[in-house]
Amino acid sequence: MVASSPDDALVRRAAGGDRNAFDEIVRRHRDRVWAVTLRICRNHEEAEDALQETFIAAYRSLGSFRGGAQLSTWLYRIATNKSYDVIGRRRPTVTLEDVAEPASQVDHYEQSSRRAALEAAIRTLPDGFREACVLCDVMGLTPTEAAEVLGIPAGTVKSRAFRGRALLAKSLQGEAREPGGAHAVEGETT
Amino acid sequence: MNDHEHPHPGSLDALARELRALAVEPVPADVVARLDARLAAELATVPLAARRRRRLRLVPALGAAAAAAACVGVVAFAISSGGGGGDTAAVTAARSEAPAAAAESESFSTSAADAATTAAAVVPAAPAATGGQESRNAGKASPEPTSELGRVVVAATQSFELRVRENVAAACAIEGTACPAPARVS
Repeated sequence: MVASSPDDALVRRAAGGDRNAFDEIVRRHRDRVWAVTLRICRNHEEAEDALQETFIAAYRSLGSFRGGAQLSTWLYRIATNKSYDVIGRRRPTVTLEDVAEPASQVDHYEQSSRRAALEAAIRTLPDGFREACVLCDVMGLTPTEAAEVLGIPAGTVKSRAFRGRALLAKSLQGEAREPGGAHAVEGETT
Repeated sequence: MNDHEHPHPGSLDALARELRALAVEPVPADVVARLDARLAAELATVPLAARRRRRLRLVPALGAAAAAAACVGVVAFAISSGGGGGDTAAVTAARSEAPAAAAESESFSTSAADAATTAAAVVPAAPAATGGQESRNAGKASPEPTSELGRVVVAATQSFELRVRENVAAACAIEGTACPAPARVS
């Protein structure tokens, strides 16, 4: 039974060309990878492209996956890179309009008003804060794991996640007083 | 951000719990369907390992086939230009080198072996094409060619063998396996 196999066994089988094993990997991880691409891209269509490209790239690089690492962390790294690839292809320059997407354009995946507000608040975070928050606070990665995914120091991840969380809390309380959103990541520790 | 702007720790804890609830975002059914279709289209043609094995074999095979074809061309040229007795050695050398090199490349390519076999098959036609002179001299063939043309033929076959060896070594290095011992026929 494929479903009871651990990830590393599945990876070995998939790397050997077992498509059923790879399909099982996709089934296990697609929801979490979708959560990453959706929040980094902030756009349903781009997130879908990034999701597809993530698993295609993962399949083609399974041979380079080190068994000691978490498969999910490895997939998040690919998903993060693919998300920025897709954003870069479609949106060569990120404008403040992209950051401050109105809550009325919230996609159908947001069901409750509180959840919708939270999703909208995440979208308004500056890029660096948002990716740190998504990986650490949403996906549950440790700062070290998120640092590995993002290619930045763990201290920077910790600082960005904390400040991003603080901005989220203030935004949700309606206390945010930063006009237009602070797109630059300032004053962080490294 | 200044300290006095930090939200209450309690509100941050509550926020952390809410954020964790976002970790699993069920992929909409239409997105799943398109993902499955894209993966099927992109990945189902050839299994990964088979594709990798085929790529490993294709490069040496192409090199060996090209070298074998060049060998055939050189031998055919030697025959058609009516080489003297000194060329017999080169032709004999070509007959012995080509199958040996083909034997080495056999595990990587049947096409290379076929080409080398063709080269070997062309060589026996030499005596007839040159009026039987080579057949009279065949018994006293020297390993060192005496004419320029003979040296060209020997050089071509040696180049062929060298290229096969390099391809075999490269393939072994990529696959991480031990290189087979050369099966040279001298």
